[in-house]
Amino acid sequence: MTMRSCVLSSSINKPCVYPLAVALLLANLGACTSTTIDEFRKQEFEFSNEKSIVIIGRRHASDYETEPWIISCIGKRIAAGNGDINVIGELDFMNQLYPWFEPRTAPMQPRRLKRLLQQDVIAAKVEELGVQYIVWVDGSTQRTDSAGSISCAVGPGGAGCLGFGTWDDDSAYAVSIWDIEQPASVAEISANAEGTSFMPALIIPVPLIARVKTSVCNGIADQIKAMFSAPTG
Amino acid sequence: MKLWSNRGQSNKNSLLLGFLCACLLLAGCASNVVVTPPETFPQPLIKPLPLRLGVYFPESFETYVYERPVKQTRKNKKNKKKKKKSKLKIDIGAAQTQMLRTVFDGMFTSVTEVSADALTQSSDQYDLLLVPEVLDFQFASPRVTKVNVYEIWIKYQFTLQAGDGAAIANWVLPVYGKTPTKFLKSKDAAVNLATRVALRDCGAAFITGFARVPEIRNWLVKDLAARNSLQPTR
Repeated sequence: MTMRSCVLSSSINKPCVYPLAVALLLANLGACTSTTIDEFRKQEFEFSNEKSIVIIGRRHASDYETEPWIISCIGKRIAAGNGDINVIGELDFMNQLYPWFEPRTAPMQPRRLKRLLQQDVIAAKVEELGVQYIVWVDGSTQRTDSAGSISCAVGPGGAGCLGFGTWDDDSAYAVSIWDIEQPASVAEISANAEGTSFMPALIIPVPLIARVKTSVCNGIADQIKAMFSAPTG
Repeated sequence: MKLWSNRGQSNKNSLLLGFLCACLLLAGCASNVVVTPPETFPQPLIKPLPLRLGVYFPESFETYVYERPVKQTRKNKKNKKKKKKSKLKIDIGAAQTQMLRTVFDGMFTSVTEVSADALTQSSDQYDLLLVPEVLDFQFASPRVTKVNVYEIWIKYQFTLQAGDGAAIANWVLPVYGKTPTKFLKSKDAAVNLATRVALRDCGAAFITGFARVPEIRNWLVKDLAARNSLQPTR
């Protein structure tokens, strides 16, 4: 599934700023985000409304770290709406099960989770929390390219900026959904998004940001929601 | 007379202004970043070991502050590089002591804080005596590493001895913490977060690694036969 979302500019009524408005509109058309979500279900699974899911970021890589922001964003979007899916906060879950889901100790494969759940205290805590699925999110958003320059100056008559800047953001996330009861990986989601942001500056810098992270967050959250809501087959 | 008086006032004002400017300049040269991570850590979810622990926190551990000069290079108006010296201070003493207290409370059946004298005396009140120490502390910022994260490494040493005073092990434990990203965070907040992650990592490493240290494992098996009650680790 590929989506393309763009930032919409607000209308400007003053005639003297029409050229600026046109420039902004043109720039806005460029400040778009392209998101691709791929889903792969390994087996059928059903979600009980009495149970909960937890979304956790992978933090074992040395050169990047899954941002807590995106975990929080996905969780909020899944929990929003009719409230069918109860989402346990990442930090709350990690604190309740400390130290078994820290970057050093978090299970990398379902069989590790199985061994972890053989400990009575951990199994009892997971049961108490009512966790049915663990959603692992691994990836990050990187700035891949940037160009242009903006100069600003302040003088007795006032201040202003002149120039143009542009940068590209690239998001790549892999999501793995584990069933606690089996325990096994039941589905995988791959999410990629890219977008180019612009900042023209004619006296005032106008940031036209491609909301790459938000797009990928919405894409992942909607896909997970659809998976848990719709019967598999 | 009035003229002199005004001139005197003007001189006073100039002196005051000069003094304030000098203070600002001096303050700019010695700007300190003091970071104190939060002192609340989660209670570990483990079955306690059937051991009575005596722990001695040296003052140097409880008040540990990492300090190092930081050179900052900035370009001035003429595009010439200008070096500025400042100091980075990371105060982790209270936080790391609190973290270990929480970990020990959850990990052993009884924990007693002892004085340095207890280390030289044989006692049947404790099965195990432990002394933590910070051997090394390192900090890396994105400016240095070119990686998009702030990183903290702390090397701890845990000296363990039996209640009768017999040495068991000198366990060196390196821990690591990093921030998710350098963007949208002040340096203080980033260092604070990385330190908190490193301290959590210390707790996790201590809990999961304790019974894996060969000397400790041998002591547990030989002297206390407590191996069966250890948590099965991965």
